[in-house]
Amino acid sequence: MSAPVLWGVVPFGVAFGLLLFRRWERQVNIVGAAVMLLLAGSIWIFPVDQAVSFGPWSFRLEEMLEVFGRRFVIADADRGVFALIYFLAGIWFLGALAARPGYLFVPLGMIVVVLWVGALAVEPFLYAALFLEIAVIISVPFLRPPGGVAGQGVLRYLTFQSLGMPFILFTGWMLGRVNPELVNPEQLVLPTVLVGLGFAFLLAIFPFHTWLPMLAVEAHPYTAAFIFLMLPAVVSLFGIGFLSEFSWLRNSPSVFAILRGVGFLMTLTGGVWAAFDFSSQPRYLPKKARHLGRILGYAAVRGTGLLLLTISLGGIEGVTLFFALLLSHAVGYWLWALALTYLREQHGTLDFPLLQGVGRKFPATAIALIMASFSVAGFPLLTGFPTHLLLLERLADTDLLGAFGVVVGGLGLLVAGLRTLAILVMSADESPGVPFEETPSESRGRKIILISGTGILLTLGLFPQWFLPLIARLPLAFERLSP
Amino acid sequence: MAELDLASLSAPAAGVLLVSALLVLASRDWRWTIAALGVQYAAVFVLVAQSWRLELAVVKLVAGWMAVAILGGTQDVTYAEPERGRPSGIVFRVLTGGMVALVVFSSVPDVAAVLNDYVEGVNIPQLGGGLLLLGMGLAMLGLSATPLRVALALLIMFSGFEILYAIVENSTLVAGLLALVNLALASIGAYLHMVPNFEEPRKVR
Repeated sequence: MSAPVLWGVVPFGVAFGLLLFRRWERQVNIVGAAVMLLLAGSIWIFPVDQAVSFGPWSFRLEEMLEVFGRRFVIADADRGVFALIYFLAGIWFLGALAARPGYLFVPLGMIVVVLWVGALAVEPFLYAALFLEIAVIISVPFLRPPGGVAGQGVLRYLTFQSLGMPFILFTGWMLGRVNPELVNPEQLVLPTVLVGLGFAFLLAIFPFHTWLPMLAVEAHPYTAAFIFLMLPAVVSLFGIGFLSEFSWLRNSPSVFAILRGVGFLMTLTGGVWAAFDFSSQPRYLPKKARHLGRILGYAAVRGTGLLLLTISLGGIEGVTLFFALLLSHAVGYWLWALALTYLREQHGTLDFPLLQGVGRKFPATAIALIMASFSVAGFPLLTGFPTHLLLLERLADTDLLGAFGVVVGGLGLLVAGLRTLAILVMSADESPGVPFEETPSESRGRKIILISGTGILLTLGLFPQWFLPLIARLPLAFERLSP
Repeated sequence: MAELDLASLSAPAAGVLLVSALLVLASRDWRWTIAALGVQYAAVFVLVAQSWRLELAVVKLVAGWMAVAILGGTQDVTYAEPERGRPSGIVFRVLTGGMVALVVFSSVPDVAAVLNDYVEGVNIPQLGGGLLLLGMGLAMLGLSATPLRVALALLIMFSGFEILYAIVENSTLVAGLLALVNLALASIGAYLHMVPNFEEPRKVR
């Protein structure tokens, strides 16, 4: 059996099976999460292209599957990256048991994750753009489940992501026609511009980022956060593969300068927009959307900027930091989305004016929400802090402007978090919102989940040495980036 | 039976693309829009067949007409889009489309010169048709906010891209995946158009 069949075709089939049984939402979520975590574990454990003994059985997983002349390859060095993707998806699907984001999320989410894996495994790897596009289309029904009106956020998400595909495919063809090592450098300008535009669309880089906060308002917070975490991660991994594939690209100082510039712009603007986008008082900023979900959207803008800054450091060190940042973001976004989900479910809305004093009624939810946003901002003692510190140290050596962007963007997100805190703990006398007596208090199960999540944020922030060794083998997939 | 000479049809096909794209852009009646899209896919097939084997190019036609059927099948016969019957909107969109067409056709020689660095013997009607649909699709995206119109705009834009990409790539896998993308886009456009009418199935605990 080949590895792409076991770790690609099989979960694809399971996902379709789960789609048929989608009415059994809870059971489907359990099976989906279990399958994803099992896949992650098996990819992490079983080597590729070597004989493996498993109890009485012995088998060998081939690394390649050929389809219509194109190859899907899961090489031994790539296993860590694929295991990480399945692990993050598994954790997210497990949380769906508590968040209940809709019966389509887990089955369609599984298909989307398998397509992302396919995008990273296909060779020539430029065909990945087609897989990414199909994944985007399939993700739309769980972002806009049956029963509501399709808003502008979903439409812009579909549009901007779709616009990216042609650029990547054309670049692939152009680079296939010329030998970049021998060609006139002027002939490389057009492919470089095209690939830059393609990634700008796919990574929601300014000014194509507008769908992020809009989607955070329209969609269920849990599904939106899943896309905010996974999509930039997968597209960035695809981009790192690009750098790894073409030596002229990774040896070009201007490419890294552009990455640094874009990363700086996104970290800075994401944080600043989060701080100034809202007001609980309509009279101050009457045209601003006063919605808690938008801050998550802007945090995602900043998060993508941080990922780009780690890549701009170059070499294996940058990629290692990329994975560390991704994991710390995953924990933060997960808890943030869960807290938003509970708040929306318990209080019926995420509009700021109606959330005044809600923290007194739902303290565990409020604490988890604030801690998660602080962690994503890189606040000391929380999960995001060690990776932010490492990134700042490296940037201070090479790119002071980038370091400034990280600090100011983080401050913006902290201001947004503090503003949220002030509104959530405002006394009931000042609150014109929904009378609290009419809403039920937090259940014990929810309190346990939220407090555990907050505990994980603190633990990983205090003891980063526990999880950092686990990511050591992830950059092996991009060994060619070593100087 | 004489062999079909598709090469002589490429210039008329580019003309058909212009008329059909203008109709899709300007019309607010979904029947005209969907019919024009169907005609447009026939012209796309003719242009793609300049570079691809006929049996592979037919995939574009079949997938395109399936997309048309999906979008057409989900329309409400009593539905009328806002602005229908207002001539100023139609005039504005026709003028916008006309400007896009002018810009595209004036830039075709320059684009052909750039592409000649990478590929030999670029077919001008093919290039013009592809760029025209790309431009019309983008213009339509800028003028549309409803799910149906956004899906139509993306389908038109992808058709333009596929004509251009056919010049340089004739892989069966790519043809299949692009057909899948078209069908998925049409399905998701239809889904988003209909989503307010759908209900969640009763959950089983």
